[in-house]
Amino acid sequence: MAIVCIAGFVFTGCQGKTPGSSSPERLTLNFWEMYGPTCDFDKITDEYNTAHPEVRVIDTYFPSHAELLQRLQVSAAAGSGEKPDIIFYDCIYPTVTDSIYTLVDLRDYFAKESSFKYEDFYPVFQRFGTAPDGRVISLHTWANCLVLFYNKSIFRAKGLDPDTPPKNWQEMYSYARKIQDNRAGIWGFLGNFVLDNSHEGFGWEWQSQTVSAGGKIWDDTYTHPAFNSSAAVEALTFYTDAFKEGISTISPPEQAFINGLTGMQIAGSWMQNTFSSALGDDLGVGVWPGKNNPAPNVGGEHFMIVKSDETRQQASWEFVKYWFTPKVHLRVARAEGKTPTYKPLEQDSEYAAWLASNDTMKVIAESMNSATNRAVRPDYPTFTEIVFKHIEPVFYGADANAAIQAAFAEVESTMGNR
Amino acid sequence: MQKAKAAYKARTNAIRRADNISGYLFITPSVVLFVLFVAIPFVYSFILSLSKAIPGGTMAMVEFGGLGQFKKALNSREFWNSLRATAEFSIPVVFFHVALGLLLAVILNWKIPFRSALRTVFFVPYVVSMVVVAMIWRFLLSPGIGLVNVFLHLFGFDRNTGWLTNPKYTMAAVIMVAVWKWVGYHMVIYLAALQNIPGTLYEAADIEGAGAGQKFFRITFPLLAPTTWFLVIISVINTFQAFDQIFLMTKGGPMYKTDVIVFYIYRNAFTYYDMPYASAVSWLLFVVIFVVTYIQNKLSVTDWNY
Repeated sequence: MAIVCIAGFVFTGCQGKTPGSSSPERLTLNFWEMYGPTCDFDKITDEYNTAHPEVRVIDTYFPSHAELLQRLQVSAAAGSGEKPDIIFYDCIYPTVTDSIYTLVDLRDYFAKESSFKYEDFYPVFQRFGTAPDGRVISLHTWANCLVLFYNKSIFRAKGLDPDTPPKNWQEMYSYARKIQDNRAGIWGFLGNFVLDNSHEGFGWEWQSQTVSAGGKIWDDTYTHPAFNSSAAVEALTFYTDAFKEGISTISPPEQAFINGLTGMQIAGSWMQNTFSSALGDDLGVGVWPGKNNPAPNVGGEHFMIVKSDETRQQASWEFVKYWFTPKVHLRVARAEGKTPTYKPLEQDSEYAAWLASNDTMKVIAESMNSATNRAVRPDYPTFTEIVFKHIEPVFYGADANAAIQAAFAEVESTMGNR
Repeated sequence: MQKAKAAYKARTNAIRRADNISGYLFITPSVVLFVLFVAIPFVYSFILSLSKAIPGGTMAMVEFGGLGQFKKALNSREFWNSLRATAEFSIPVVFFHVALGLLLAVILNWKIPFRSALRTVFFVPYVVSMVVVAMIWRFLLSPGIGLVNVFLHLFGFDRNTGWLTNPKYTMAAVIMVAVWKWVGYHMVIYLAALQNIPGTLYEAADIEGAGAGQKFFRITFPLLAPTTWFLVIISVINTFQAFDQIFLMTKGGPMYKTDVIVFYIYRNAFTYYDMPYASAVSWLLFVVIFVVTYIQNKLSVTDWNY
C-alpha cells in the first residue's frame, strides 16, 4: 500500500502533458476569466471548441479579482507549467497584467482584419486597454457603471413620482428624507461600497463623486495625484452627512434593497437581473446622480492575449474575435447587465432591440455621455488601498479634510512621478 | 549448539530487518508528506524571511536582505496593531472558553433532565464548519433585521446596531462567535476529566460538612488543573491562529480593529504579494507562540494529588 501511495504521488507530479501545451492533433489554449457559468462562459467556450476542432480552449473561472491576480503572479513566478493564453479581467488590470505577463499588441492583429476594426471601439472604454507606451494591450468588451436603482413601490408610498428618479445630490437628499422610515426600518438610500467590502468598490464610488463635484483624481498623465481639493472632501461628506442625518448608513441590513429596506440603492448595473428578480416591475433605474452632473466611472472587463508564439497568439486572437459576434456578445450582455463597447454590435437588430427595451441599458448609455475613467497605472490597486486606509475613519467620525490631505500626501510620496 | 545459536540469531535478524523495512515503508508516505508540506516550507519560509524582492521583478525574484524584513515588521504600526488585535481577541476568548466550558461541564455532569440532549446542543457548533458559522452569524448580527438586533430592540437597544461594522462592537461580536463555536469542545474535555475525579473525595468532603463551593474550589478545580492548562494552551494556540472567522466576518476591519496577526500575514502574502515580509511576520508569530507556550508549560500544574 505504501508503494502504491508513493507511486501515485510520483506519477501525479510527473504528468507528461500539461494544459496549454500543443500536440500535433489539437492546439490547447488556457482561458482564464472572471464571468464564469452564470454568463455561460463555459458553454460558449465548449461551443467554440466544437465549432473549431483544431483548437481546444480550456476555460478556468476565477470568482474574484484577488484570486485571478494571485494565480497570475504565482504562475509567472513558477516560470513553468500552466500559463494563460487569453485572460478576461477587470478593466483596471490590463497594465497590472502586462507587468506580470507581457501582453500582445493587438494593433498587429487588427491590421490584418478587414471588417473588425479597432476604430469601431468607443475610445472612452479603450483608455484602460492602452499601455503607457501606446500598445493596445486589451479590448474593453462589455461596459458597466454604477447606476441608481430605486424601488417604485416605496416611491409611490412616499408620494414620489416613480418615473422620476433624483438627478443630483440635492434631490437625492430630498427624496431620501421623504423615504426614511425608522419605524418600518426603511433607509433613504444606500451607497454601493456598503454592498461591496472590497476597497475598490469604495474607491470607484468616491472617485466618481469627486469628479461630479468638479474635482480631479490624477493629473492628465496619471503621474501625480490631484484630489487634494474641496470636491474630494464633498464627495465624502455627501455620505457622512447622510449618516449623521440618519437617511443612510454605513451598516445596512443584509440584502437591504432586495428586501425592500431601502428606497434607493447605488449599485453596479450588473445587479439588474438580481434586483429585477426580487422587485419585478417595481424596479426603477436612473443615472447615478452627481453633485450637479453625473460622472459615473466606467467599468467592465477586457480581453487580453499573452505573448507566446505566433501560432498560439493567432489562435487566441480568433477566440477573442468570437466573443464579438453579435449572438455571443448579446448572450453575455443579457446575463450580466452590460452594454457593448464595439459600435457595429449596436446595429445588430436583435441587440438594438434589447438595448432599446432594457431600462438599465438605456441608463448606462445615457451615463456614458459623462463617464470618467480610473487611473491607467500598473500599481493602481496600491492607490485604492492607501485611499481607503485614510478615508475609512471618516465614516466613523474622523475629519474628512484631514483624511483627504493625509491620503493625498501618502499617494504622492508612494506613487507620485512614477 | 553454536551453529544453532548462530542460525537462530541470523533468522531473528532477518525477521527484524523485514519488520524494519515494512515499518519504514508504512511511515514513508507520512514522512514524504511531512517533508513536502511542512519541513520544506518551514525552511523555505525562513530563507524568504531573510530576503527582499528585486524591484520590477516577479514575486519569485528575491535577493538576500538580511534582517531587513524583521526590522520592517518591528517598526510597522500595522504589525503592532495586528498583535494588539490578536491579544484583544485571544485573552477573552481563552478565558470564556475555559470558564464557560467548565461551568457547562459541571452543570451537565449533574443528573438533570435532558442532559444528553443539552450536551449535544452545546457540542454541535464545534462540528459545524466555520464558514457556515460565520455566514449564519453575519445574518444574525445584521443591522435592522438580524435576530440579535430584533431581540435586543425589545429591551430598548438600537435596532440598527452594526455589530460587524461599528469599530466599538466588532471585536466583541467576533469574540462572542468564537466562544459560541468552541465552548462545546472545552465542555466535552472537562466532562471527561470530571468523570475521573474519585467520588470518594466528595463523600469525604460531605462527611466533613463541606459546602458546594468548598467542594468545587478545594476538590474539583484543583484536580482539573492539568486539564485546564491543556485547554488554555490549546485555546491560546488556536486563537493566535484565527483566520477563517475574521476573513469571513470582518476582513480585518473596520479600521483594522480585527486585523489579527494571521490575517495580516495573509494580506501581505496574497494581497500585496510581499512574500519575504509575510514570511518574516510568520516567524515572529512562531516566536511569540513558542514563548507563550513555554511560559504556560513552566507555570502549569501537571499533577495534583490528594
